[in-house]
Amino acid sequence: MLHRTERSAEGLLPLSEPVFQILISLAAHDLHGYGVIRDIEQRTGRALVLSASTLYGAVKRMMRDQLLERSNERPAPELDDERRRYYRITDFGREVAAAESERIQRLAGMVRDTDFLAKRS
Amino acid sequence: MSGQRWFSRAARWLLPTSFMREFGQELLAAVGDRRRSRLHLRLPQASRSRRSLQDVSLYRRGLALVVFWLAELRGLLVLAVRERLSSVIPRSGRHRAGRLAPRDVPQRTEWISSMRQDLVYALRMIARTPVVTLIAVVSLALALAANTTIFAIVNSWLIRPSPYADGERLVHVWETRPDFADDEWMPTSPATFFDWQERTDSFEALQPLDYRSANLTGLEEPEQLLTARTTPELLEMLGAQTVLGRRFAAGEGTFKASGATSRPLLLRETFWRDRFGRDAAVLGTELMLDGEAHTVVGVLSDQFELWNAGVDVWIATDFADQRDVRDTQDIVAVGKLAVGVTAEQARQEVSAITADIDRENPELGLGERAVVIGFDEQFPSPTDRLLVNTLLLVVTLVLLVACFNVAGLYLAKTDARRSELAVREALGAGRARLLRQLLTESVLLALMAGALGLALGSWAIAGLASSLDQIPRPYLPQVDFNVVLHALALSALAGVAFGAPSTLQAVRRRARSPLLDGTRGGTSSRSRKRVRAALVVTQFALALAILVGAAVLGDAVERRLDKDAGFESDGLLAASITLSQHRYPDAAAMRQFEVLLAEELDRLAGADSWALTSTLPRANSWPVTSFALERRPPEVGREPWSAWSAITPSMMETLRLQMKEGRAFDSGDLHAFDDSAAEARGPAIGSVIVNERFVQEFADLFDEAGVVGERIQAHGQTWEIVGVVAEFAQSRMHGLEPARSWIYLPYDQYPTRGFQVVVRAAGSSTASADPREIDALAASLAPALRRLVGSIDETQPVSDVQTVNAHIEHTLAGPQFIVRLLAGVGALALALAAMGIYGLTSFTVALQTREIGLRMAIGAQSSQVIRQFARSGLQLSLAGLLLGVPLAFVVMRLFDTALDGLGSAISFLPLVAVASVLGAVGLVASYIPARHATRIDPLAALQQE
Repeated sequence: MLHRTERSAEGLLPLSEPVFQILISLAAHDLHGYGVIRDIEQRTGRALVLSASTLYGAVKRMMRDQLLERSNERPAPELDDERRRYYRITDFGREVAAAESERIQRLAGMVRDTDFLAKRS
Repeated sequence: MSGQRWFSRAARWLLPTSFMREFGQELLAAVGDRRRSRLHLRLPQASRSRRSLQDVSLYRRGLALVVFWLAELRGLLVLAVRERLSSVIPRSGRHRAGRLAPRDVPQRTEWISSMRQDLVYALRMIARTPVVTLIAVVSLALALAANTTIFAIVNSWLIRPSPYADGERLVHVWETRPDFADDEWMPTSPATFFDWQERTDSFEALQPLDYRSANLTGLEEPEQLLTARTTPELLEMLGAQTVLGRRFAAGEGTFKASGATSRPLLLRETFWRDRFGRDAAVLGTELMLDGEAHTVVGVLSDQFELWNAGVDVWIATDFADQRDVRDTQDIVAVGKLAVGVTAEQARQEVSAITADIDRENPELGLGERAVVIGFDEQFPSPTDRLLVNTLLLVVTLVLLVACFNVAGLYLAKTDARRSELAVREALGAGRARLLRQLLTESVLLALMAGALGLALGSWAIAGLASSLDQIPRPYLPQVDFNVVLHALALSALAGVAFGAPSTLQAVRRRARSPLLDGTRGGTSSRSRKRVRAALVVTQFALALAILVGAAVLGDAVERRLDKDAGFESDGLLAASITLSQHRYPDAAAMRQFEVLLAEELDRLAGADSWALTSTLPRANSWPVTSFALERRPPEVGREPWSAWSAITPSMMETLRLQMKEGRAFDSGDLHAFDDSAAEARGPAIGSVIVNERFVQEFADLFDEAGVVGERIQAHGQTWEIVGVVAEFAQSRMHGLEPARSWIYLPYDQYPTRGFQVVVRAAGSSTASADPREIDALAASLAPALRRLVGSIDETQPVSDVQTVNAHIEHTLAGPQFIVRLLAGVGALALALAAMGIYGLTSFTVALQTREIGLRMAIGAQSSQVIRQFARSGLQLSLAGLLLGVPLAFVVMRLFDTALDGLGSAISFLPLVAVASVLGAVGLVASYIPARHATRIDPLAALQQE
């Protein structure tokens, strides 16, 4: 808890794409690992497909950075697989995701201001 | 599917244990989910195209699967590198959840492209000299294989993190006695264990464990199993993983409380495979163990193994019925230290508790000490550590010899390439670039050798692991990430090492352009020859040290581990029987079985004699008992201790043991306790035999008159010592370690639940017969022996039916493997040294072709020429031997310390023998090229160049 207040969300920026997308997926609802992979695939139209290893590597680091935590809630037993564990975004995780979104928007705004895209086309 | 299995194997192998423990199951589940979804999603897409629907879908499916596994594998590799690195390199101050900072990209690509150039060029150069390459790769690979093998042991014993969850906090707590040495301890009694458990604060958890054998009946054939009875909490604490079903649930130790009718039981994976063919239907079935029903609730992974190797089944219990039992010593206490508590603090606390228990129960003689030993400390023993570190030193020396050897080869090779290097330099290659080129070449070669060495090493490691089956599985050497990394790093290092001399020489000689230096055999060649001569001398010195070490150790182990010292093992068949508690509840019932067994054994055709003993020769473990001399009773709790076995009188004859003093058991010693008339005469006095070591060890207790006739108290009875048996190989390492004191009780008077039947085959007395034939005779008695026991009690299992020689071979496999390994390493060193001197002489001959031709042309005899080269070769080997002798002494000293008590076995004989062999090898290796030189046609030689 102490760590969280000491650390600022900006310190973690910019986020890598997998980390950012995982945060966005979990911001909507708690998911298990494969659920996160599927959600990202669907939202990005398969532009970002994570391998299971990439996902859990990121999950481990994100748990260390307290961006997410294990969730104790489980679905109805008949839908459940006990090997699966569910993950939940932390408040700090939301803060970081919001900060990253703002950063991206600012960046996009800068690009728009320069007419860079228009010139290229 | 197999892809999934391969992936999970790769993951387990590549990723750190900590990561697998936390995310492993989820990760593998997610990969499985993804694979399934990939297949289902892709199929309809494929079927949209109408032509040859089946083919396309199959093809697409296969392709999708390959792409899928490649992507997963790539992810896994990246993750593995990252996780491994993160444990080595601390994270930088700035917390980053994302990727690494972008690097200076242009610089990197330039570096890579020149690297690629170097590699391609190096490959071309290596391919151009296949013979040199082959010799270099093979000799390095052999040395690297030896290093990899020994490192795998070091890795699995000393480096690899504990295989258990929070392994660094796991300890065993043992009982000890006031007169026990610091490294002697034993299991505790249930009551003492529960006292510890209730009164201690040092542990997060302290759990009991009881190993005992039990008879499995109700399946085709009765079988004796090793069981571990423990609480559900213990398996929880150690993080044991199941491969099927579940672990014990909390509270399941008191199974009746949970409404179950039988005790829950977990099978071990190996046992499940061997006995049930990995059939998942085994879950929920009932097994009869010692007449009691147990329900199978799961299968424990083979990777989970504790101190005692080879447990077949785990049984949940709460030891409730034994809470007050203090007179058995069979509880192994396993604890997890509370956070922040050291083993020493726990030891002090448990010792204080033990002292309290001792005051409350003075008759136990518990004393005031307890032993708390970390899992990591308990294995390997200090001797094993020293031995394996010494071996590591030896193989490192061999690698050095190999490096010197290949360095010599490379000097010659680089020499031949002087012009080429000069041309490259003239064309503008910088000194650094040339240096890197040459090093790339040698490192590439070394890596090739490393890969081959790793393959050879893996093979040796597998052999080693199968011969070391007394070691708990988590400590068995195996090829893992560390071993591969070590092999590759070591080979790269070797590459730099053997490449260095030639590289430096090539670069240093830049000042004088070799392009102008048209002649061969000039002064510069002579200076190179000096370098090579120095290399050969060092090789000889190292080879001498290694060979002497191997010879001394091999000789000592081989000679002192005389397999059947003091008895005759040829023609003996042994079988193990453990009578179950429920069918043979007391001594009378056990004695009854023995009487029936004796009748049957007397009738066994093809057997000369038979005996029962509770401990075979070269036993791995044995029970101990305290005893008291009747005339001079010791203070309570200060009794001396000795190992003991129960034997039938025929043991002396069957094993061909010699009596040193007094007499063997006779019929008068038998059935002393059955005889009601004897009981009427007063308390019965049994007869015991002790061994020579017993007499020596307790000499101060007895008068000069000797021990025969003295009376001792042991096992709650009075015994009279009637004889002293000559020393024989009773304990496993007898010969390499001091003998142990032993008391032999007559089996009839003190029957043991578990015992061995030993049968001597008829005809084994004829001294001329081949031991193998006699053993075959003995082995042929096995079916009859099984039938015989079955005819007495068809539910009684017979296990470990094998010849005594097979038992000994099995017991001594470990030390003998090390001797063979050393012999192999020694032979390798010898071969390398011979190659070194051969190479150098050939090189010199080649350099001096013109000179030889000239001398032959003006009338020199070929014998003179041969003598000249042979002499210089001999000089080199002599110089090497002189340098090697002090080194050999250092190695002998090391082995002397490593193997305590080996000192007397060390003699100068191996030193002299090895030196002569090396000298002879040196002579032959220089003679062959010298002889070759005399075949040179003088005219052709003079026209050369």
